[in-house]
Amino acid sequence: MAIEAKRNGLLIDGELRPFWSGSIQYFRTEASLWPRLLDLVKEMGFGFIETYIPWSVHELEKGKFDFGEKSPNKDLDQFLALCQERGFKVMARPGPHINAELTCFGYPRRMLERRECLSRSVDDDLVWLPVAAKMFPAPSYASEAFYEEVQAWYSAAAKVLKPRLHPKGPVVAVQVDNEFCNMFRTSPYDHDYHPDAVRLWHRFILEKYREIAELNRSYHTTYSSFEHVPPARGFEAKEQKDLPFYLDWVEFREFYMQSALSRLKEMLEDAGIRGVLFTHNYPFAGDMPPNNYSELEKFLDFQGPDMYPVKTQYPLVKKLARFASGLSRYPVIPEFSSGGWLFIPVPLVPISLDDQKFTTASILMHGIKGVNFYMIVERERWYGSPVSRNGRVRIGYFEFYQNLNSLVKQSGILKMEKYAPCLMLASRDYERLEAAATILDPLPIISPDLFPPELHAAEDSFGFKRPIQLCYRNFQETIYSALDQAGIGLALGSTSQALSSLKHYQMAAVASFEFMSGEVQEKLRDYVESGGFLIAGPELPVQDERGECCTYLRERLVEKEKIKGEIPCTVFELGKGRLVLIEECFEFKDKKNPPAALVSLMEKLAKMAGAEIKFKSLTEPVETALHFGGGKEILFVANPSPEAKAAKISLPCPCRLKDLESGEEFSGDTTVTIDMPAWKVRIMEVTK
Amino acid sequence: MISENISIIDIDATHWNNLFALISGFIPGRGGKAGKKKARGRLFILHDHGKVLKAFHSEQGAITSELKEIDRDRLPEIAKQFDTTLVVLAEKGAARRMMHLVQSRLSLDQNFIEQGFEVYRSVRESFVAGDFASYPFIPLRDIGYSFVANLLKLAVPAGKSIILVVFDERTKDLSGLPIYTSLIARFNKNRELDLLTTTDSLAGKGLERIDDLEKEHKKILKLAEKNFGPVFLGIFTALPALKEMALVPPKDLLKTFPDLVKQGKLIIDPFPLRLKMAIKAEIFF
Repeated sequence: MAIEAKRNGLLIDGELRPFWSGSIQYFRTEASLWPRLLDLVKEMGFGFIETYIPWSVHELEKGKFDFGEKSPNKDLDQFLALCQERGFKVMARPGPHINAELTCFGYPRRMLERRECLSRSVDDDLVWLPVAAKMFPAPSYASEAFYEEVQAWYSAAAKVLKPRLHPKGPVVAVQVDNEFCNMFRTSPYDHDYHPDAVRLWHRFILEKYREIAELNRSYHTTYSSFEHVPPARGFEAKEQKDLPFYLDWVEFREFYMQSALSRLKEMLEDAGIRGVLFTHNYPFAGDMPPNNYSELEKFLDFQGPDMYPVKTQYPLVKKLARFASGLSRYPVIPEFSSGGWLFIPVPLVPISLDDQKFTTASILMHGIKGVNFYMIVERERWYGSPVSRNGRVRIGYFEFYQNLNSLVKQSGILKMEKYAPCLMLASRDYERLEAAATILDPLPIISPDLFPPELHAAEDSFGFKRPIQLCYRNFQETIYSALDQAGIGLALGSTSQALSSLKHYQMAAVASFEFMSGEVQEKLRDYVESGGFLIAGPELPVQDERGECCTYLRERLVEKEKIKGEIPCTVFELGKGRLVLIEECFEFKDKKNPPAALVSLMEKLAKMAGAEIKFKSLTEPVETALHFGGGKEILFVANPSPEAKAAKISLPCPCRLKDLESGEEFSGDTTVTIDMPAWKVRIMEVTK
Repeated sequence: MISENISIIDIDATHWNNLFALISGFIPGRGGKAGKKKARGRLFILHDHGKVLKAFHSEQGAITSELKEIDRDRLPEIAKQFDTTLVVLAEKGAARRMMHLVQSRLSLDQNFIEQGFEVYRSVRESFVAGDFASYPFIPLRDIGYSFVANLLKLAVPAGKSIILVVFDERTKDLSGLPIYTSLIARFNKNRELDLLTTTDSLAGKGLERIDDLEKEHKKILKLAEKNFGPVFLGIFTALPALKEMALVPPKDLLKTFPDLVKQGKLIIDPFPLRLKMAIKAEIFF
C-alpha cells in the first residue's frame, strides 16, 4: 500500500508525514480567494487541508449536481488542483452526514421528506434533531432506500474526486460519514426501529448465535426463529437471566454503527475511491457504546474524537486524548477547535484564543500525534479562525499557529512517544450493562461525566452482590484519578483491544465484577502470565456475560502477599506476572477525589510493577508528561488552574529544562521549581 | 423568527466572547474564580406511582435508599432536607411520552421558532399532566407560536437591521478597533432574522480607524446601510456607560435612557418612533 497510517504519521510513498491539517470549506468561500486562503494556510506551516463535500450544496435536484459548472464556488476539482499546486495533501469528507452547521447537516431536504429513508423512534415517530436553523428528522442508516440515495451522491462526488486521488492527486484520506453517534441520540431504546433496522437486528443475532436453540438457551426463551425475536424497546430485566437479551441489544447498536460505516466505505470503494486511507471521527465522547474503536479499526485506518474545549474542560481533554492515544493506530483529533460554531445549540462559553493555546498544548501533552484544526479559515456560522473568509489575517490567531507549527517541527514532538507505562482499561462488558440498564430512555447517554449511570441506570442488582451498572463507573473513575494523582504515566484503553497492544504496558488496571466475558478474562490472564502487572477489583469474575460459569482469571492464581492498610489488597502470582485485587468498591464522591490511601497504594504498586514515576509534580494541580524519542526528551508541564503556581518537580538526576517557546531555563539536582502562569502548558527540552 | 438560510458571518471572536461576558454578568473577564462558594446540589427523582425508582443528587450520587415514597407536595421539604437548589420529579416513562408528543408534532414545513414552540407546548403539557414536577415551581405559561409571531411582527422591522456597538478605548478587536462588542442583526421582508454579523464585516470596507467615539457611529451606520440595507435601530455606547447601566435595576433601566442620551453616554440613532413611545409609556414594564 502506498499510504499507511503509522503510530506517528501517515507513510506516503515512503515518507512519514504528520496529519497536521486545517479545514477550509471551499463552498463557503469565494473561488477567486482560494489561492490567497491556501497560501495563508501554507504560510502558517500546515501540510494538510481538510474539506467537507456537502451533498445538499452540490445537488440541484435528484440526480443533477453542480460541481462548478454553474457556481464557481462549488468547483471542487479546481479547489483540489490548487491544493495540489501548493503541495498540500487532502482529507476529503463526502458525508453523507457532514453537520458543518449547515441547515439539515448536508442532507438534501427532498431526501428528508422520504419517510422510507428515515429513522423511527421506539413509538414509530420520526426522530427529530433539535438544531437550528431547522429541526429535521434523522435518516436511518439501516434503510435500503437511504443507501440508494447515498449511492447516487457518492457516484457523483467520486467522479470529481477520482482523478485527484493519490498518487495522481492530493487526496490521501477520505472520511466515512461524520460523528456517527445515532445523531447524538445514543439511548439504546430511542431509535432506530425502521423495518430495515429490525431486519439488521435479526441478521446480528443470526450471525452471533447461528442456531435459534443457542439463542433460546442464552435468553431463556422459546422463539421458533430469529425473525420472531423482537427488538428491545425499554429495559425490563428483573433477574440475571434476563440480561443477555439487553446486552445483545446494546452490542447490536455497536454492530449497527459498524455495519453502516463499513457499508459506506465499500460504497465509496465501489464508486472508485480506492488506494486512500479511510477514517472516522467521534463527537466529544470516549470509547463507549455505540462507539467501539477496536472493532472499527478492523476496517478503518484511523479515527479519533472531535473536541471543542474551553480550558476549564482540561480533565475531559486529557481523558479523550489518552483514549485516542491508547486505542487508535494513529492517535489524532480529526476536528480540534480553531474557533467555534455559531449555531443552536451554541456552546455555553465561547472558545477564546487563550483556550486554544492551552488546550492545543494539552492534547500534545497527552499523546495526540495528528490534528485537523477546524476551521483554519473562517466561514459562515463560524468565528475565531486565524484567517477570515475574505483572506484577512486575524491578529494574534495567525501568529499563534505560526509559532505552534514552528515549535512542533523544531521539537520533533510528533515523532516521539509519550512515556505511559500504565494502561487503564475501560470494560466493554460493564459499559454495555450501563447502557442497557438505562431507565431514562430516550434521553441520550452522551458522556458518563455529564450523565452518569447513577443518574440514568436502574438500581437493581439482578442477583449480583451489588448493582454493577452503578458501581463500575465509580470503581473505574476512582482508580483512574488515583493513578493520575500518583503521577503515573497513563494511557486509556479498552478490554476490547487486542492482547498484543496490552503487552506494551508494564502495568494495567481494570474493573472486574462477578461476570466478565470469557474472551476478556483469557486476554487479561494471558497479559499477566506473560509478565504483566494487573490491578483488578473489587472482585474476580466467576461467570461470563451469559451467566455461564467462567473463571479464567481466577485460575492458577497463587496468593503471594496481602498488603494491609486503609485500602487492603492481595497480590497474586500468575506465570511471569502479578495480579493485585483491590476489594474496595468506591463511591460516587471518590471519583474526582480518590482517598489519599489509594493514591499512596498506586505509587506502591507502580514501584512493584517497575513502572517508574518520572518528573512527578509535587505541586497541585500542576501535572507533567514526558515524551521521548530520537535521543531526546521533552517534558510537558501543565497548570490547569486559574492561579499561577511555583511548581516543584522531582528530577531523576540533575537536569536542565529549557522552555522551547520562551527560551527560559530551569535547573536542579533533585527538584526544580518552575513558574507556572495560570492555564499554561510549558513544552521543555530536558538536558541531563 | 429565524430564516432557514440565515447567514452568520464575520463574527469578531473578541466581540462574541465579550458579548457572552456581558450577558453572563462577568464584565469584562470570565473563567474560574478562586474561593468560589461550593455549589449546592440538584436532585432528580424518578418514580413509579409514588414509589421511588431513582433519586440522584448531583453532589452525592444515588441516594435512592433514603427516599422510598414520594409525592409532589413533599418537594419543598425534600429540597430543604437535601440542601438543593432544584428538585425535579419525573414519572416512569415520562420522557418517552414527552418525546412522542414532540416528535409527532414537528414538521419540516415549520420554521425553527415554530418548531421550538411545539417542543415547548409538549414540555408544558407533560408538566400539566403531572409527568414532571419541580421545586421551585417552574412557571410554564400557555404561550403559543401565533401570539409570539404577531408580537414579533409589531416589534421587528421588515427588511431592516438593528445595530449594537459598545466602544472601549482600552480594547483592540481583531481589526485593531476600540470596539468591545458589536452585533448587527438584519431581518428580511418576512421579519425573519436572515443576517447576523459584527462590525468585522465592515472592516476593510471603510471602517479602518476610529478617532472620535462620539462621531464614529455615523460612519458605522453609513457603512452598514451601504452593505446591509436600511437600519431600523442603532444603539451605541461605551463600556463604562454600560457598566453604569448594569447597576440600574432592570425595572428602572428604560426610565434612565433619556438621561443617558442627554449626557451623551448612550446614542440611539436611528431612534424609531415606536421605541420612543414604548419608553414613554413604559410598556415593557
